[in-house]
Amino acid sequence: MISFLQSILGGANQGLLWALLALGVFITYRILDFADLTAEGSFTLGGATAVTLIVAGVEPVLSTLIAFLIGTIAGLCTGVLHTKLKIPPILAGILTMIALYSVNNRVMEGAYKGISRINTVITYFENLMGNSKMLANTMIGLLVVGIVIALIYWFFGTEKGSAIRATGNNEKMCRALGINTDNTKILTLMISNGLIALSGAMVAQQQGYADISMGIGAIVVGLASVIIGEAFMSQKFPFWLKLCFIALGSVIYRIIITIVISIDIFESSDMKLLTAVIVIIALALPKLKTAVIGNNSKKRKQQEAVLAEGEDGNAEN
Amino acid sequence: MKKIITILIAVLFSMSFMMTTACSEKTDYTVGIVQLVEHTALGAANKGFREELTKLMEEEGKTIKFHNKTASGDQATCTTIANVLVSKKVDLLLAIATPAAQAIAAVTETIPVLFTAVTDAEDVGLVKSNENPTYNLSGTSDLNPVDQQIELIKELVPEAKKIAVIYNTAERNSEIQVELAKTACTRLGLELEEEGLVDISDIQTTFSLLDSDIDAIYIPTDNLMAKAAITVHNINKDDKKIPIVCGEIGMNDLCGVATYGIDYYILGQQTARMAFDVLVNGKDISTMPVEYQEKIVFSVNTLIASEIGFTIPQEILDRAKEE
Repeated sequence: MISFLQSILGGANQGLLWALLALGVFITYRILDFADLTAEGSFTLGGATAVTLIVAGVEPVLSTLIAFLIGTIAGLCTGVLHTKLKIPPILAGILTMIALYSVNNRVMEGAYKGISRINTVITYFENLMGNSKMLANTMIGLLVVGIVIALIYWFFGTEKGSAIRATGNNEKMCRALGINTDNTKILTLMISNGLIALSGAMVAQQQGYADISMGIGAIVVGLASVIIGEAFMSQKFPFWLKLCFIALGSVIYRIIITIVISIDIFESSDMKLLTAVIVIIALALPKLKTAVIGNNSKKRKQQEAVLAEGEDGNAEN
Repeated sequence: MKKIITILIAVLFSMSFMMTTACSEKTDYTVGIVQLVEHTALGAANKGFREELTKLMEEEGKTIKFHNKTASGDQATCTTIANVLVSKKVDLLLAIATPAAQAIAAVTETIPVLFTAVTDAEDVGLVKSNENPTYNLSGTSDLNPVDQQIELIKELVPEAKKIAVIYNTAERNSEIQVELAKTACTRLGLELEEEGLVDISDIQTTFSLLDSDIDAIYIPTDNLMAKAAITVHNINKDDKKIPIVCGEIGMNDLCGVATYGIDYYILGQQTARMAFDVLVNGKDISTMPVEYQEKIVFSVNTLIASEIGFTIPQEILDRAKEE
């Protein structure tokens, strides 16, 4: 039992660090309605920058923050390509992603850079937690995700943040109101890719190396996490709770993969099929819900009818 | 409805828990295997390891169980698999290919880890030095005899002046071999043209853009090129018809004319003997130097040669018969 829970915890730890990626994807995909494929490039960029700096002797926390800032620059590029050069969103993202492959190769001076046995953000926590790698990862995961969610929540309540939310909702109306939607789009892409780069930096420190291929499939993981998180939340949730559920979606995604791998009956190669099936179930849950218990509206009409009958009854009395 | 969902999730959870523990008959040893991706070479190493170790265990009268997982080429999955195997408290871990080894190294500092199909463990930081690992990892390197292979090219095409090396720029292992190829070429007076690519779809373009004065092609042991070996041959025989020498025999069988190579099955067996040393003889893994393949194999591929219209010099054909 313990070993099963341990592996689940390990999966959850991974999920927490990838949750930053999910949050970044959420910001562009849901709030701005922009399918941003830069993620694969900026994720690797964050990892490459952080690892290269740490190996060069820069303090880990500073390296991680610089990785975040470099990620925002990647977002800036995509933003400029889309808003100033009028390149369609998906293409703008792909172009930046392709360019970043070469950039990452330059940054790492090769295809890979390892940071075995050097202090990283994670090892600080290991020393605190008495050398339990597992718990150290959990602590730092919760800490970083918590701080990021708090910051995102604060930011989207500010004027700039609200302008971003408005742009995603109704761009034409925003322009009519005098908001510079080009700038809001660029700003959103910068924040989003900064977060994705931060995620890459944390993951690279956790796995002990940065590799040019680490971003492959990142956008799929991000979208899957967002969708799984949304399957469990309701539209009535406050914004900060929605962000928590997005992070939770990433954790659940990793745990699902962990469970599939743990079950010896399945071949490891079946893993991708099974993950797809589970994401499909997550997407289908709302439809199943409605099919099983009927719409709220139907239920409400019945309830109102009953109440009305009751009132009439009382009135008569 | 919420109740139904909660009950459903609880049932699924306990079912999966039961399934993971269901197949655990007690054996003397359990070994976890993490393979990066499926292709001939890695699969051969995996098979060689398991078959040899099972045989050695049976001779000793012990039972052994393997948890054999592959990550379908995804690096994050390597970490997840590593987590799962470490929590199962296996006695030993085998990592096949560098990313798998790195993932395991980050998860455990106590369980002994053997790697195979890693070209230079010291270069990527898995061990402190190839002679003295120091940490909990050691294993076998698949560093192929690049020097001998380039020399073979000169023997196959004596008038050769310029060769191209095609490899995946994303693989550190390949970069290392390209460096070695450069040194060998300088020594033999050959000009080396580096053709790095990123994706299987780039192979067609790379081939069509090759200079017309390229006399031969060298392909190092590269996970991407290994998967695309058949494609390489199809593209080559329809167009350029240039003799290819691959870094590894499995790849060479599909697209190359001749090579000296590592037999990955034998490499796996060699790793199994190291595993046996650690598990049964209680040897300390941090003191076991990284091993290289003891016996190099020579292989000649007359079918491929005829399909690209290349005549292999008689003395090389004779050499193959001798080996």
